Amino acid sequence: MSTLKIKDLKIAGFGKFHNYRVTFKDGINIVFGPNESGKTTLYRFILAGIGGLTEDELHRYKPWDFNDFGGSLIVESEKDQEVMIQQPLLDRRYVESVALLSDEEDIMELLPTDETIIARLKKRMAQLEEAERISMLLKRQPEFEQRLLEVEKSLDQQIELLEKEVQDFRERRQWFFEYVRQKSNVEKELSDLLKGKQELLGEMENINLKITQELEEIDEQLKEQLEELQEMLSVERHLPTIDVKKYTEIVQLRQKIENAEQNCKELESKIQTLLNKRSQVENQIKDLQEKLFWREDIEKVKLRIKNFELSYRVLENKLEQLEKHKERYRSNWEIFRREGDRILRSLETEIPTSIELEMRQINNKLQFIEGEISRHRSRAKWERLLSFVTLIFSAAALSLGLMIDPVWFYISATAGVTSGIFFFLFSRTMKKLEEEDEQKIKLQLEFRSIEKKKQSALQRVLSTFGVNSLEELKKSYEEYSKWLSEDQEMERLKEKVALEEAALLSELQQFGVRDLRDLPSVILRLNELVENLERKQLEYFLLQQSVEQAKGDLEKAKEDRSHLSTLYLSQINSLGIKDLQELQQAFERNSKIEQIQYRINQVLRIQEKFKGRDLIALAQDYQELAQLLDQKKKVEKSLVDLSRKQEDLDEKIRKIDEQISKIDLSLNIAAQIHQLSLKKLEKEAYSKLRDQAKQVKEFLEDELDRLTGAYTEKFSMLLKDLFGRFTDLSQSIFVEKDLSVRFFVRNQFADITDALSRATLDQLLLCYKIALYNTLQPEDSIPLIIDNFLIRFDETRLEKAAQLLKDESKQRQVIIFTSDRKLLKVLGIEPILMLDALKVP
Amino acid sequence: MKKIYLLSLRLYDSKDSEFPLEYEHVTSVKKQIFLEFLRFDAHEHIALDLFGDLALLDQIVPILSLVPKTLKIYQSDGLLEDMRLPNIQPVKEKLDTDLSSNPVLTDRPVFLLLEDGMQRVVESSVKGLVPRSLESPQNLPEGMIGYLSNFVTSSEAERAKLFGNKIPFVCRNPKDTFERRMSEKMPQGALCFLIHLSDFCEG
Repeated sequence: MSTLKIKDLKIAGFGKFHNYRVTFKDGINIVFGPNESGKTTLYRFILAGIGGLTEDELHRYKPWDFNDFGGSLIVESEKDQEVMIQQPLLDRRYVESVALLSDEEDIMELLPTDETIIARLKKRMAQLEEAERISMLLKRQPEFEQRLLEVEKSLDQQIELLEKEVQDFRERRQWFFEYVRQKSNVEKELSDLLKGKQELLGEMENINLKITQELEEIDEQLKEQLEELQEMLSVERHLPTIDVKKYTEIVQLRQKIENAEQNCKELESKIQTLLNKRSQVENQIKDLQEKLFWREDIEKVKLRIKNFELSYRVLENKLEQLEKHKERYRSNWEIFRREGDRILRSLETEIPTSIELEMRQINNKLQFIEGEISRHRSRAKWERLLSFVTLIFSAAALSLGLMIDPVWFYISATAGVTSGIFFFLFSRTMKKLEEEDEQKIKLQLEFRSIEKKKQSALQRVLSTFGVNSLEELKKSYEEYSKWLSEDQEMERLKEKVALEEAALLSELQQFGVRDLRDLPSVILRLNELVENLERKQLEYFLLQQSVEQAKGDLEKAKEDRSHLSTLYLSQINSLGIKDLQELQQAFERNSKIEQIQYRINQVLRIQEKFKGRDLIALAQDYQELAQLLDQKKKVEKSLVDLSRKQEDLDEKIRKIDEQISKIDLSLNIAAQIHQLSLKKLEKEAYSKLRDQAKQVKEFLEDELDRLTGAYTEKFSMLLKDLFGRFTDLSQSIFVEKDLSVRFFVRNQFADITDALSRATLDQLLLCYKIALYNTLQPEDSIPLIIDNFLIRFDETRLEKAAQLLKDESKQRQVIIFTSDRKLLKVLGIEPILMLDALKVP
Repeated sequence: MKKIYLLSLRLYDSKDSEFPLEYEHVTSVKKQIFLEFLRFDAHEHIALDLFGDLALLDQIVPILSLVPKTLKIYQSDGLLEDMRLPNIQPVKEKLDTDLSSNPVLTDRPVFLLLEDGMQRVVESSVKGLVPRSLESPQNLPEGMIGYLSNFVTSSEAERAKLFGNKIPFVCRNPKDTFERRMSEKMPQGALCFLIHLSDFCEG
């Protein structure tokens, strides 16, 4: 074990120090100085040399007035060594943990101790490497587990790929067998089809044979038929015959005779009917003539009725004229009838006289008052002007009286009196004006009242005539005068009408006319009778003509019948036929011969077809042959269909072969499956391996506990012992594996910053650092450097701290920077350096 | 009337290629069983599920072209249905039995003989190849192939090989004092984990 001691500080330039040197000794070294004297600068210089400062920290101590910066520490270890402050000797965290104590020290330092210290502590242990290795293993175990998971994932992916390949192969294999099955089915179908085709060919051969046999039979039949028909023809030709044309002619002739006879009978019947009808119409005409009374020509009767009708119309018009004249008479004309135009004249002359006289008197009064008002207004104007002027003059005279001469007062008084007189006159005139205005209004109202009265009186008289104005009344009288002149003429017309009406009624009395009102209906009835008579006469004439026509036709029909009978007899006699039955037989015979001839021709034609081997034409005559040909056609069609199907099936097979050739089954599937099963097992193996994690962790932690439990225990014991010198609370502290300190108060862990005062915390910190150093027992011991740290200690504890530092100084150098004279006294040691705050060294 | 049944031989089957089996070897063993079946003196030879799920047409046809015409086949997966194959007499004959001629399924493959309504089990001369997963090396009886599905150390693997067990995943033996000390405390699985972890940490 070597002891590291600081012998000298050689400061070239650092903070306020320039070209400065401090020499230290063994044991306790005190640097005394008040605040701002440079204690902390020296403390930092030492730290820079043994633990190092950061760039920023060093920069803070660069001198501002000297060019030189830096310095060195002369340290004694195995031999003397100069250490430049920019190249520190040890790790700062290590140095801070075990060698430094400053009033800047943070209590958090007690939580937890740096790993390097732990490592250094471990180095002291026997199974150091193992513990380190276990820690490292534990630390990286989660990472390893993650790695295992990744491996599993990767295996999963590989498994998925392999499974897909295997699945693809299975599907391809499935498809392959499916196509092979399809092909087998199609081949089977094709084989069946070829078999069917062979059967059809056999059937075809059979049908052809049957056709040949049928043709031979047909040939034989035709020959037999021909011979038979020729024999029949020769027999029939020896008997009388009649051709169709002749037969038709004779039959038609016979038919015409029968028609002519029928026609005669119908005409006779028709004539009889027409005669009956004519007799009926004749009777009806007689009846109508009796009803009309007049035995004269129909045209004359019509003219007579027309005259009656016209007379009636004229009479009707005249009566209507009379009625209209009567209707034009108005009830208010009655006064004109009694008084004539006297009433009109009185209205024009008498009514306005009294009222208008009154109105004229009021009007005269109004004109007079208006004249008076005008006069009084003019007068009042002048009186007002004069009153105003004299008043101004009076005021002016009063002023002159005051300014010039008192005589003007008299003139002013006179003018004032005059002004008063004029004003009095003006007032009186105005009063009169008011009275006159009032009177004028009264007269105007009275005038309007009389005017209204006049209007209402005239209106009442006119309303009795049903008119609104006198003009209308005059017009009404004129209309009455006109009506009166027409009335005499109307009286004459009335007498004339009465005479004409009597004459007309007497003439038509025989038809039941009693009144003029009956006349229209009687005329209407007479017109109807005349119309019926005319129609019946026309009907009679037409019937007469029809009878004549029918008689003529009957004569002609009888002549035709006789002529046709003669012709018919001559024709059948010429053919040697006696009656109609023989005619029929001769005609049928002719038809029979034609049929035989036709049959012979038919057989000959068939023979020709047979010779020409026209089987389709022959089939039209022979049903069996037709059936055979039909069968043959069907079989041929079936063969064509089968050939087409065969081609389709061949094409199908070709396509299936194509599909089969596309399927790739060359993959070594067994190897793939082997690989897949291996990958699955591997995944399982890794999974099982990962399952071991917890167990392994527990093993490792137990092992680590076993290895590292010793230094924690030692540290805890030392700390409690040292801290026990200051307080009884030392038994309540608890040291964790990472050397962090916790307080156990009232059955629970408490935060040390809450549980302890700052001074007690400082004591704990001092004890912690000393205990840590003593637990670590480093091979290269380093000094304990204290910067103004013990300032919060009371006297008793300061003495205990001094004793502790003295004990510590036995095994390593102790350097104390302080401004506390009490500490100097308690330690009883002279400082190696006294710094002055005001003096720059 | 003697009828002999070959039960679920499943020639060319996916199970035959799964670890720890060797596909070619299993196929060869199955062919031996098939030949033994065909050589059996009987009026009817009926093979139920003769082919497995990897059988291809160019494997099936050569086999079927060599078998006697008396052979009847029933495939429960419908593989040979609607196919034009030589010497095939497809039947719908199905037996409800747990017996098997498949060496991968049973350590003692058997045939079933039906004679005058009586059933008799005939054991094949060929032994089975039934895979069995093991937690630790074990000496298994004939007809079974044991394998360890987890990681074991090399020395443990050597021990397993002596029993004929298949070992797919091996980790190295403990190399230093610490590992050796831990191997005395830990079971094989945890030890392998530790060894892997150590190797991982060492990079």
